[in-house]
Amino acid sequence: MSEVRKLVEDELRREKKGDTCIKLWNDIFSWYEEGGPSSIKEHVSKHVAEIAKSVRRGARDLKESYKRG
Amino acid sequence: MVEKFKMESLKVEGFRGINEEKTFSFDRSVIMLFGDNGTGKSTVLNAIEWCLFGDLAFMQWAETPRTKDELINAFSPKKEATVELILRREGEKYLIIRKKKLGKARTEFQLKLPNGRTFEGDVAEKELFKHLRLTFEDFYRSVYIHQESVRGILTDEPSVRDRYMDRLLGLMVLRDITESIPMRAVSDEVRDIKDELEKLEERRKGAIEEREERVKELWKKAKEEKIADAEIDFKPACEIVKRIIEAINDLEEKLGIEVSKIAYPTSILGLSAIVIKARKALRGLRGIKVPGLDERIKNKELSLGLKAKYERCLEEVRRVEEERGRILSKYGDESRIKALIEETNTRRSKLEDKLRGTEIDLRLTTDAINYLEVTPGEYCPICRSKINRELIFSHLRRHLEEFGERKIVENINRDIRKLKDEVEELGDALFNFSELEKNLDKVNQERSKIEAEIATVVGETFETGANTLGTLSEKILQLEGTINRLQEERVKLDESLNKIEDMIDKVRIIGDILKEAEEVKHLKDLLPETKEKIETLEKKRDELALFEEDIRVITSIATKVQSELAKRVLSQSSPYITEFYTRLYGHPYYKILNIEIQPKEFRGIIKNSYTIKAADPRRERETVVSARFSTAQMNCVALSIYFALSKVLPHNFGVIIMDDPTQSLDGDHKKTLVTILKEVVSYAQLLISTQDEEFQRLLKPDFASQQRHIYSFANWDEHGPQIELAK
Repeated sequence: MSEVRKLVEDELRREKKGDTCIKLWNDIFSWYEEGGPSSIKEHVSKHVAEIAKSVRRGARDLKESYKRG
Repeated sequence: MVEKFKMESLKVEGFRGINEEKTFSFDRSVIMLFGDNGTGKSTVLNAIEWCLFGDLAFMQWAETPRTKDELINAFSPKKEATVELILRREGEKYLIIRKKKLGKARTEFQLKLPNGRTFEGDVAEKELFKHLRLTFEDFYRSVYIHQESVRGILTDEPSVRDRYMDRLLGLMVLRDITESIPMRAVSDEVRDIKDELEKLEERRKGAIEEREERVKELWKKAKEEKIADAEIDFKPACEIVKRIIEAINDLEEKLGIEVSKIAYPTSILGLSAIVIKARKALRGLRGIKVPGLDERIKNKELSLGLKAKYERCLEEVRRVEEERGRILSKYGDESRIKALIEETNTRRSKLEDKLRGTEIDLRLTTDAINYLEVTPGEYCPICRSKINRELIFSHLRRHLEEFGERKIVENINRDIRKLKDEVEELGDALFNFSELEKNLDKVNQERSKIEAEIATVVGETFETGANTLGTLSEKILQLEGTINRLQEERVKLDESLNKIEDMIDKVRIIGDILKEAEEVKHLKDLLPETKEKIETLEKKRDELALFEEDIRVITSIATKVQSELAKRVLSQSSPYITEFYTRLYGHPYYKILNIEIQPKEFRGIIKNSYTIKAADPRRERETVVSARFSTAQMNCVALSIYFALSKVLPHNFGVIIMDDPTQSLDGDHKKTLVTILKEVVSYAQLLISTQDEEFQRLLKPDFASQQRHIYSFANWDEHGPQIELAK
């Protein structure tokens, strides 16, 4: 399995993708190793949901300030 | 090379067809389960699958889809299923236990490692995956070779077949990863966030524009209400508020009601509160009545009513007295009328006596004449004396003519009728006089009553016997004067209230303008801060977009690697596939199996798509296997691919479980299959379940007794099947 991990990582480097992208690939692979496909879905969804929640909360606060203003 | 996991033993109790506890020793390279259909062989295979993954892929949970209670043996006294599987690798044992109670959806799962560490539940599931690297699908498609799943490679819909192929090619990790990344959900979220921020920006701009527009409208309204520009400020508004409060309090004091406590505003927002409180006080004042006004209006209406009633009463008195006077003047009083009646009756009585005598005289004379006319005798019929008939006759006729007796009777009758009429007239007069007397009493009583009521209305100034109507009229005039005065006061009060109301409206408009202008200013002041906040949110949005881009790139690269690997593995295993295929089936014409790989987009992700073809050795003609081959041929193709590729399985579970693998195969195919299995056992532990006696006979001699365990299944009853380990 580590061979697959390395193959993808090498390909990402060859395609000159940034460190963030390579780190994300390694994270994804680690999530898979930890808990299988559902673990990847869980982590990705959680990460996206956290950012989205933070943006939405900020947006809601701003909307409130327009009303209150 | 790291050794793969093998099975050491299996203990089953209360699970599907097995009720009482059964233990199977799997410490051999080949485990064979022989027996007829329905004797519990598949239960053993299912027990391994359920113990590892907590589910059975082919099971239809028709009765209890949530709790899956069909897993538990119907006669189990404990009402629970327990399976314990011991795996072995490099001499170390791993104990896996799964239990389920009737009615419970969740199973209890435990993993005990050789070092003594024990894991439970989800943690144990994850820990097991770390060791086996085996997903449920992976197990099902590359370990547990069910005939249905083998055929699935060839016959299922393309997307499913492609999955099977990827797994058989050892590419399930990349496929799992690319499939498990929720690409669409991430893209949707990124798009939503972008939309949200765009809307936010529009809202920010809109909020200022909207309020500026409102300020303009309010200024226009202020002009219409003739509010001077100089008044539209907080200080002038406070001056107006001061006047409002003073005016309200003055009126409240004047009217003797509790004075409203309205605080002066300290901010623009405070103006709105003042408007509300002032309006409330105004409503209270509008509800106040001018003292005495209603009472006087009521008295006036009562007086007017009494006046009309009294006038009607006086008119009645006058009419009755006039009528009474007329009777008095014509007939005299009651006793006089009675005397006249008596006198007239006496006169009538005398006339009646006279009438009776005259009538007898007339009748005698007439009868005597009639007698003399009809009787020629000359003697008196009474005394029989001789009479001069002619002389008497002449006397009688003369008497009748001279005295005119008929006329006398008529005159007397006329006089009697006249007297009768007179008596009737007098009787009427007497009756009317009596009635008028009564009426007069009644009307006078009514008059006294009305005068008493008038006395109440007029009060102390009323004097009995005085000019009642005049006094009452004077009182009415007096009331009208007071009412007019009080109504003028009410009008003045309303005018004052209207003026206050106008001032309140003014304050409201000024307050609204100031408030909206203040909010516009506030929003503009907030602009730098808002921009900063929006920039922060935009950074997060960009971070999310970058994340989306990265996982898209990763998915794309992983797919590319997957495709290249597939090609490489197929290239490596291609000779084995053809070899297995040739050995198993040996098609006279299509001797070579070829698997083509093409990229195919599925739900936005590029994946490997496989087409299995058979070709002649020169590759001049080829055919798609799933379209042309029979079931037996397809089984041979599927088994060939499977055995060839099982050599490159990347997971750590070195077991191949085959459930009835000889369906549709003839004797030669079965022999070849046994030969192939002898090779497979060099790299994997085999668990073969079959009811095919010919296949059983072929298998037994080819595996030495030290190498195999054979379990025979028979006579299933409520305790479970009878299972014997062949010696």
